[in-house]
Amino acid sequence: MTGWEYYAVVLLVDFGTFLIAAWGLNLEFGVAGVPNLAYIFLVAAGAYTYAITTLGPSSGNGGFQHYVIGAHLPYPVAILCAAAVSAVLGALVGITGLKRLRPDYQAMALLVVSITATTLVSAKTSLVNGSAGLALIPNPLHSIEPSKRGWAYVGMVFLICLLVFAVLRRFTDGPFGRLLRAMRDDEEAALAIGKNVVALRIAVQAVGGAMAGVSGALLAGFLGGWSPGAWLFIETMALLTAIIVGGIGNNWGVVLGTAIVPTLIVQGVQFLPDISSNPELIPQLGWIILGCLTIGFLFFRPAGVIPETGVRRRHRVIAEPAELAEQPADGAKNGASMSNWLIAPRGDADRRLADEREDILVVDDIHRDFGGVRAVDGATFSVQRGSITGLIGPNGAGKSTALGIVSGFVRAGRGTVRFDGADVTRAPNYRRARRGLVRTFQLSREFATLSTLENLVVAAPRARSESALGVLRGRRYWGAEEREITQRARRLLALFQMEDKAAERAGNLSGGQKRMLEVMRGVMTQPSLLLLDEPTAGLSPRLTQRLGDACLALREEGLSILLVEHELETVDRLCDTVIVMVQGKVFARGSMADLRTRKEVQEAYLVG
Amino acid sequence: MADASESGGKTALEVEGLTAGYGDIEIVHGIDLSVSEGSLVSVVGPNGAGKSTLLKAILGLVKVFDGSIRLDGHDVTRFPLEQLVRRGIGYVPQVDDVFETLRVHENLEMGGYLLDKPTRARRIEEVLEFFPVLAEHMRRYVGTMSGGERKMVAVGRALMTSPRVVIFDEPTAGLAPTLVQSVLEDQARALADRGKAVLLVEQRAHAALQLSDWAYVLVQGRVARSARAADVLSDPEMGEVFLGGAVKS
Amino acid sequence: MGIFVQTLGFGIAAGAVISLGAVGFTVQFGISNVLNITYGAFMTLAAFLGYVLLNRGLDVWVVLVAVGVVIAIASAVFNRVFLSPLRGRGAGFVNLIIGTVAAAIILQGVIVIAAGPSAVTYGQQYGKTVSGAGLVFSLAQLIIISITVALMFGLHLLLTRTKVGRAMRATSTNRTVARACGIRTERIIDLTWLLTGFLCGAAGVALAVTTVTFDFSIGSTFLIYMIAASVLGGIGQPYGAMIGGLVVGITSQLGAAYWSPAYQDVVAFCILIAMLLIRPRGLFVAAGVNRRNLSAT
Repeated sequence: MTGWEYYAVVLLVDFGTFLIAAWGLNLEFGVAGVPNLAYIFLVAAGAYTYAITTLGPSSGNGGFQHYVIGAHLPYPVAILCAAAVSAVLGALVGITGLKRLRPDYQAMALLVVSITATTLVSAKTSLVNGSAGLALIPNPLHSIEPSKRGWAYVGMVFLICLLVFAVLRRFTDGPFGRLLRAMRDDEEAALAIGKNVVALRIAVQAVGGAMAGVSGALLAGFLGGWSPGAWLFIETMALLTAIIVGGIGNNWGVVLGTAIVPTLIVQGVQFLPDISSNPELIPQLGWIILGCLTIGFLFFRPAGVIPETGVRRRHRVIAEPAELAEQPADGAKNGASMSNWLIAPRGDADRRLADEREDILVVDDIHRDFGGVRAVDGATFSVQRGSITGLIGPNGAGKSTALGIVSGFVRAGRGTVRFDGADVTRAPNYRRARRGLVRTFQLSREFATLSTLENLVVAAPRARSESALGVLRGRRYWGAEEREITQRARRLLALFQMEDKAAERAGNLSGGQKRMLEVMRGVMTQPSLLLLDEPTAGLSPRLTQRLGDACLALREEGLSILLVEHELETVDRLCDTVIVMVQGKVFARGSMADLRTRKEVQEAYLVG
Repeated sequence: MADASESGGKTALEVEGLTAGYGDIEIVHGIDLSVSEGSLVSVVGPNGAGKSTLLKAILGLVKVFDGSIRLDGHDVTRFPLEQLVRRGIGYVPQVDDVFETLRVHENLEMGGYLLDKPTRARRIEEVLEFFPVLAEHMRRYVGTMSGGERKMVAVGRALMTSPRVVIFDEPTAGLAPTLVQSVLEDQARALADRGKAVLLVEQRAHAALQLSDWAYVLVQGRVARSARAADVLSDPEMGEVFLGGAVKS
Repeated sequence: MGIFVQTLGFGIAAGAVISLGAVGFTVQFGISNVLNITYGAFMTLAAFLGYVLLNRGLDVWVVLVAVGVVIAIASAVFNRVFLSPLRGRGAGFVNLIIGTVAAAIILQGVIVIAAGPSAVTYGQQYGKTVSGAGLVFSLAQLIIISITVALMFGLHLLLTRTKVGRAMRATSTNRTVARACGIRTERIIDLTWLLTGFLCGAAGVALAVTTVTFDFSIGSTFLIYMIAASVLGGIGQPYGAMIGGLVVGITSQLGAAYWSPAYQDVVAFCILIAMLLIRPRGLFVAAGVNRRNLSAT
């Protein structure tokens, strides 16, 4: 091989292996919002796994280097092992997300994981030969004659890139990508619609980890050596810069970013001739350029050269509009028949009928303190099945906290919450949502980068495309269901008269429209009890009217609603029963007309 | 046009043609407003009318695109808040209005940051005279106090500089209903009666207007009506069109 | 027992440097709400400058002040031209931390180009030892401990007894209310960056004095010790960071003595990770008093 050919081969292999890693990190960070600054550690784990599974036993080399295992496995098996080990480690690293720290703390924790791993591996010589690292790692193509081996390796790496891309697309585009972006945009809201955020995160980090493992294995096989110096935490920054420059959340942007950043700059500068006597100048210059690029893009173009695909283009993929246009919104004129479709029974319709008279929600003696202040102080109430129950009370009476306790977003200090006949006091919030106990938020928490329609579609419960395995089976498996869900979402938009906003980026909606979306998204989860937290606050009278109509239509179809509300007119119009809370306790209960006549209620609340 | 100044003494704060907002977005457009010594002036209106933005524009906390703000006849347009405080404005923010992690006396001392020690001690005496209840709580952390007590600390802190103009941003937000009346009456109204020019932005229009001398009704970023508070209160159209449910609750 | 007491001595000396740096880090966080990773690189810069100046035979106290002032100004400028504008452009928490990592990489690169990559072995003249109560300290260690005690005491007086100190506390507690008290918060923020920059510089010089061999990535490793100390003490809390620094210093020295010196760093790192996973608000913080909301909820 000539000199430049050698350079080209090295650059291309670097590019390919970096690309796989950058895609993986983009899946985690760009799409799912996990700031995994320990990513290079997963690449390293793949490299080491490949090394120790392809190398023969450590004892066979006469003490030249020490390592565990030494299984002498076939190369493809070794690469798969690398992917598996990194996937498992990636999932373990995902545990840092458990405490739901602020994202910069997560980033820092992961950074420290990366540095700790480097230190540990360097120090423990018997594991993978410590800081000296492993050498003589077999090249998977060693049977090819050396003159052709380089280009063959390039070919193999690119082939694997294509394979990886084919799998990756299923995660980053389509319904699963939508789900991940929703989680990235607002984790709380994702929990509220019944998404198991922790499991999703771990799944994503396992997939991203597997990609890191493949990347590491290919790199180690090509280089023939691997040591702690090759995976300092700064390498994660190189990948991150590639993503930021190319376009966060965009696989093609990452291709571009990888070509520019790690390949040309970090690797490229090493082939420059030394222009001064200082041997550190060239590599450090590479890092400095990289740092400047990162900062420049953060300042002036944070979305990158090729920004994430816009909602309009995504729409063409998720819902074929032509097909939907054929379905006349005839239901729009008939609220009842349409909402029947909206809140399809959750498969327990018979039981529901049997339990008609039983209250759907029974809250008994719940308490909650915040830093010495009693927010909820022994509130007891229930919600009748199929009713709209109002929860009113002055500011600071504990209504929102009570709603938080019922939905599982606030832990109850004491007391029990029974929903649909089962004790859910200890159930996590997303699991309550899956059972049909769904809340909305007082301050709208839309998934800002998704369209209005996507916000609804993503909320559909138990979709086939929601599991990693389901999404791998492809559109044929989930396509039909997706269409069905999309149609349901469109009908819901019609009920709320927001069809024209379907393709609008939710972050761009007006305050009032966001509130409507918040409620619609709750309905989309097919709840049996919907908890609405001041849904009309800040709504114009027209929208308030529209929201009220929708609520009544939904009740006709058997949906129960617990409505925290300030606007007494709305309460008057919608609620069958009204609960008055004052100072953390239930103060009175009855119909609005009844409550108005009661002196103590007037004094406590109405006159204010 | 009737003028707010007729309800009191000398004009202390005067706003003319104020247009302000966030980034490039104008929220309030061409607002005229004035507050004179010894009077309580309320700004009321529906949610999202721009009440808070107007107030923040006066206080130098959001961008002023056009118009002028005068304090005692001197132009103070676009002055930062700390400058306005030095020139005699006292500001009681909404809800997040105290140093939670500090004790009551530390809050008051911080309010007197600009003063020398003897003056500060004297002013604390004055504040305690105005809020005798606080005397028993001087060493408590404000974060552990109830809403009503906390508001007293916030107002007391603002009074430390002995401001001529006191600006309240929704003082009753987050308070129990039983406290609403007393906060408006014993704080906003009482200060006006002591000769301060008091500007009050309030969600609870009914309660605020009952105590105010003059009212500005803000709708969609513009002054829809500027009149005696009593007149606004008795105008059925106002209640229906502009105040919506706010009057009733 | 002998080993234990001796290790305790080393731990106190190490903890003193960590406390010094951690207090700066934590106060800086209190006023900016940004995890400033560049802090470690500034410390490397300080250590490097300290090394150069000390080698010229300058007095350690002079070097301390000179380097402290340089890093103080550099930090304040860094906030003015970089961090605060970046936040002004709406960068979120993650982008801010990535920005500070990038800035750290640049600064680190410049230092390495200027200084050369090789580890510096630093022959200090403070080799004499002083012993008492079973503890043996080198002179260098004693100097560091006294620097730390002096600076911490000074900081305590500043924060509690002076007008500027009160304004700093007010500004980091509630910026709007601070402004409503007539405090020029912009200026106070600059002052806080100067102050914390000075502490960073002093800690860097202290590191240069006590560490026999260091390479120019020492600041980034050391940063983790400081973050560990800050998190242990409840981030944003200067007194917590002082104690946290001692705890981290002593435990890592104990780890080195009883386990293996190679794992010295690992002990500190594990403390940090464990704290973040179990009790991110810190050990010494009473419920309801700490306003910093580290978790997303």
